[in-house]
Amino acid sequence: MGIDLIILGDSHSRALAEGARNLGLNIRDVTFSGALWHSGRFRYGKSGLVLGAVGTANAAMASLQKELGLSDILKAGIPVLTTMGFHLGRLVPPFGWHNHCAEAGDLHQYGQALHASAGFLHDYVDAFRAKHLKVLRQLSKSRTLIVVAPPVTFSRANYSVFRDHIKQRLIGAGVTLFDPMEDLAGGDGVLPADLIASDGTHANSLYGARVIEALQRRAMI
Amino acid sequence: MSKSPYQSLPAQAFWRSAVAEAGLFGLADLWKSPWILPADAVFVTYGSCFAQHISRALLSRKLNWLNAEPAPGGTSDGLARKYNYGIFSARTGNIYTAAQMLTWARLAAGLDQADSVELWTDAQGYVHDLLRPKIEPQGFADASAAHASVESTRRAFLRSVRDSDVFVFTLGLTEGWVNLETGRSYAICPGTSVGTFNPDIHAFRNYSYPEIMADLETAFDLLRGINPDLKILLTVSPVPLVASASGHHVLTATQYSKSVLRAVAGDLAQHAGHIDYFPSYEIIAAPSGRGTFFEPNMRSVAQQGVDFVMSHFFRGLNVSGPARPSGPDAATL
Repeated sequence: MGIDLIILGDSHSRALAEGARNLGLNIRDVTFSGALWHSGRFRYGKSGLVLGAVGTANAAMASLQKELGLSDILKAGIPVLTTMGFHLGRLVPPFGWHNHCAEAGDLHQYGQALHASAGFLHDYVDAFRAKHLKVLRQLSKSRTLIVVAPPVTFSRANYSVFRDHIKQRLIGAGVTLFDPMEDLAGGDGVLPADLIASDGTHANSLYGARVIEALQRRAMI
Repeated sequence: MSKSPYQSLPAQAFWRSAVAEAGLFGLADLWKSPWILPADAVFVTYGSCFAQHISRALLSRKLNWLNAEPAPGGTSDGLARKYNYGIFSARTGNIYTAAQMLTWARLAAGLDQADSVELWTDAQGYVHDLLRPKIEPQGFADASAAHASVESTRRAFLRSVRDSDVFVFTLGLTEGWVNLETGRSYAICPGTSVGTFNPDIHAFRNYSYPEIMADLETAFDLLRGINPDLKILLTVSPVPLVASASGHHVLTATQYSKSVLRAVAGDLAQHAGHIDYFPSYEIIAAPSGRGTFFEPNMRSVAQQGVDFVMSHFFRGLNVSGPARPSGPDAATL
């Protein structure tokens, strides 16, 4: 039985992998912590995506490469879903350490808030995500890569601004992007409770299945 | 027959012994702070460009310099500097004139609102606030973002006044520009990199001694209304004018400007116990300096000059008072 789907990314990939498996797809996944993605433990080389020291994910990648008979897993002609590039949990909280908000409207929600401009946000994201954006642009040349934006499981200052900003940067870089929230958001813009994992931060396997189905409906995979 | 009063004066009162014979690097006792500050005294710094050196020097001596509007967490030093974070205690940019100082004091005191600050939209659609025309490298996305940024700095400026012990303010210019319709002062002449000059609205002002004195007295009263214990340390920037619109030669215009500012600062310090003057201007610009610390353009002050000024500052500063039991509010530093 051939491989239907490869999933590559951070902790948000797990829901996608579980959902895909529950739908009966034959998948392979290579996932590791968003902290390591954030710190740039990867690069683009002659053999495509090259991972640094990322724990057990190195073994998963090596196993997949061996199974495919390819060093560049994106050249197998199999759709690759990735949650790489966002890792908002590592990016957004530090931005707010001194009460900064990226949305001018949030300034008036409490008296100690400070506004940081859109220009600053752009440069701040560049400082931490320029490498991610560049590598994703290079990986996208395979035409099999789809970046899946992370689920919105809560409404907290700055998350949506950063999420939207990175989305626009990816689209601008020519990366194929799918935003599950277009299909799955509740009226408040947040994922419905039945699609959220017990940790309150990640989505669950039901969400993963819904995302896969949405991609199938759009003939993206 | 009584002696001349000069006969009992100390050596520092005589040019020959205190300056000519001592030489530039032998100058001593140029300044002695009248205040015994607590060891954990909190300083804030504002003013013209020379003021930024004081914050760096305070930090290098491990003194408490309050940055009330720091860059977002995780920001590199280079990025922070690009957006003018960490230059002054709030992101005011350079405050060149007493009129501008009064504008910030009125904003902090709540007499004016952030949305009263004039904005200007450039050809690319970016919005600039004319109180801090160069605060953003590109400008703001829209008017609401620009006013939100001014409001952020207003909050930070207010907090810096409220939570500090010493407000260091470097006076820079007497020359400025005002809007004849609103009466507002500009940081730089509209049309000079930011704004569009309109001779019917924009007028040159070379602020006089009484005007500067009145603006500073009002401003400092407002600041002390926020923090009654606030001490104010004035300095005058030794950096000459880039250009003068006064009609006079820029050299004489510079001397006029610095002389007026020096006189105002001196008089304020002489008549109020909570105001003092530190002679950074004299250390660099007086004949004893022989222009030693000016760069070849005879305007920029070399780092060695800054270090020399600050060595005198720290020699005269008295932070021997006991630290407060609870210390300064750690969350504010």
